[in-house]
Amino acid sequence: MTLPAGVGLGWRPEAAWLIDERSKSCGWARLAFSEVIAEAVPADRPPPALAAAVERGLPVVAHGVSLSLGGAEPPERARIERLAAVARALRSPLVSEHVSFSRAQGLESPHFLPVPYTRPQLAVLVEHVRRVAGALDVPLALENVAAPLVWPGDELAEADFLAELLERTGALLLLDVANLHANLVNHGGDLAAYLARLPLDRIAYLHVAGGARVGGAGAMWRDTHAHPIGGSLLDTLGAVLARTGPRPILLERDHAFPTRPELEAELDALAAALDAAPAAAASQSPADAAAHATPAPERPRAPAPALPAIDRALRGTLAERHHGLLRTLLDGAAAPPGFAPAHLDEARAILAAKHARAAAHQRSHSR
Amino acid sequence: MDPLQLSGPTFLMFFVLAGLGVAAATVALRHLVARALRRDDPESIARGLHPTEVAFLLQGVERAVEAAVAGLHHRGVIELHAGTLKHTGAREPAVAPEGVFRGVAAAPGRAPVEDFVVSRLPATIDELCSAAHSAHLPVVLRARLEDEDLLVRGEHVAWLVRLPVLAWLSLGGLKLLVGLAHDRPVGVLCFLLGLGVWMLLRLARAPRLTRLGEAVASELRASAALQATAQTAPQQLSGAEMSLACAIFGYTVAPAALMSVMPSFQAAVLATSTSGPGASGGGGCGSSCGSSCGGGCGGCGGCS
Repeated sequence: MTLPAGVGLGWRPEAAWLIDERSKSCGWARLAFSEVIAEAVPADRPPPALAAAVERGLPVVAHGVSLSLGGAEPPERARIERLAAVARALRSPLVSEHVSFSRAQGLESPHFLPVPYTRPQLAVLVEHVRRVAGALDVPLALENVAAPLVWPGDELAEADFLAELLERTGALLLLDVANLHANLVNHGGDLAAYLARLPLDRIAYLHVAGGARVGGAGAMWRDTHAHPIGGSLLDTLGAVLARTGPRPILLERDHAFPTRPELEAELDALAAALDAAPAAAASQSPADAAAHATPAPERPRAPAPALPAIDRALRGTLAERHHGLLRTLLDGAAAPPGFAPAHLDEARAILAAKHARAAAHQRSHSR
Repeated sequence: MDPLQLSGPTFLMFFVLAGLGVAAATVALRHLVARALRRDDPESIARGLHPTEVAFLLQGVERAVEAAVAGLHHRGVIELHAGTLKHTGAREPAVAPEGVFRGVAAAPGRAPVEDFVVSRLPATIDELCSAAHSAHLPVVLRARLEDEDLLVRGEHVAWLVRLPVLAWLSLGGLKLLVGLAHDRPVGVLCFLLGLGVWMLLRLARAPRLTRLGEAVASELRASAALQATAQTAPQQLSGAEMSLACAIFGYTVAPAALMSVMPSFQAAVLATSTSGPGASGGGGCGSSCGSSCGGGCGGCGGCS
């Protein structure tokens, strides 16, 4: 089962009523699907409003945020089993996770971080993704993340790294247009070239979320999930859809929920973008891509060199790199050489904001 | 056969069997009076009700006042100042500005309960509730819901349902007098009569809602999505939706500014203080935040 090529909205209690209403409606306003943070849902007892939506037939993707697929050590079995259990409970047509890491040698980041685009990192990711995909009953889609920083010594471009990861694992792609937009704005790059390198036929769905330059005009673009989606992001979405054809689009909103008309206007804008997408541009459907969940030999791509064998030394070296960055961001240790100071400051600000919000949430729930 | 002439044990046997028959008849009568002639879909009926009608259906006239106050407050028509509700002076738009019907001409006028609330301002909610009882509001709301076949019609049905138990108690009472007059032991009979009084008070009551009304009430109470959003992002709701949320879930979804003055909140506090910490709140609509806030704890890729 794949997602319908319509507009979806991330399930949060704040949006539960809008999702309920729009998923019952007909025509252009109809909500096609939803997605929920798997870690926020008890596997044995989903929130009643979410359970009711599932019961009514709304497809809900289980979206993982804590596997740390790119970590040096394999994802914890308990986390994988929990993700699979949530997907079963919600009858999710697919599961998604991020191409990122958040843990290393006892340190844990409150938000996921980009991985270095190197072949040892790719080898580890491939192994972890295969392990997770094997434990799931439904296809796994991998999401590109917003990278506030760039690792020194990258061997591959992000798009090539993702493409090879997808080819080697057979996973689907959750293309986060907001993250892509943020990376292009912050680090430069060419959207057309980026898309040309990706296996667009493997796109399961798209993410879109609002962002802003937090801290002023000169600040980096931050994918906040708390701002309205603006014109430049919609332009990027339009360019993506022009290449991919109509694809399921999910609007993510996590904080600072606006009034209902404002949120509905964003959904309407996404529906309009979807309507404008040229059907002829539609490449192979994700259903076909899922059916061919093995490396696609017909792709005109030079054969990738073999990945390094994963051994204790490789994992150890990778863990050292991850840990070094986490110590810098979380403990204020000296930065490893090669990182841009401005990027590290931005990453620290993101983690601090995330940490503060988690603490506030915990306080409000302990009252 | 004159049952009063039966010997003690024989009468008791007869009386117990008659009691079982009376209990069955009472249940049957309750079932009979709760029948509805309409066969419509409960969901479509629920959607056709005004929030204040929903409130009256579920909890009575006080909840209807609460719902009206919550809706008017959400629409900016009234405000709470030092415990007293006052008119803000804001005019309501002629075109619905929010929700899926935005841009559509707003329904003319207000519901009777909303008119009542606005006409009595300034006032506290307690004063409004007291006045609502003495006003004709319950009659108007009851008539409307009876027309919809959601409330059981007429006061006479209450007596109809009680009739078998009353007849049975009368028979037992007469036999008690006969027994006392003949100086016979009447302990078992007294126990049975006590049981009968309990049955009269607890079982032999006409239902308030028809079976269709119960189905509509169940449909409304299952609006977990409305409850979840009302508790976490009321700005996502229109005035009518906020009013509906309060109608169904009481103070648990009321705006923070209004919560403590809501009669359902005060009732919940009273219930908690008399029943201990396990007591539920809001007239059976206790907070379900634990079960409905699940998805809001995480957040995904956002980096604000």
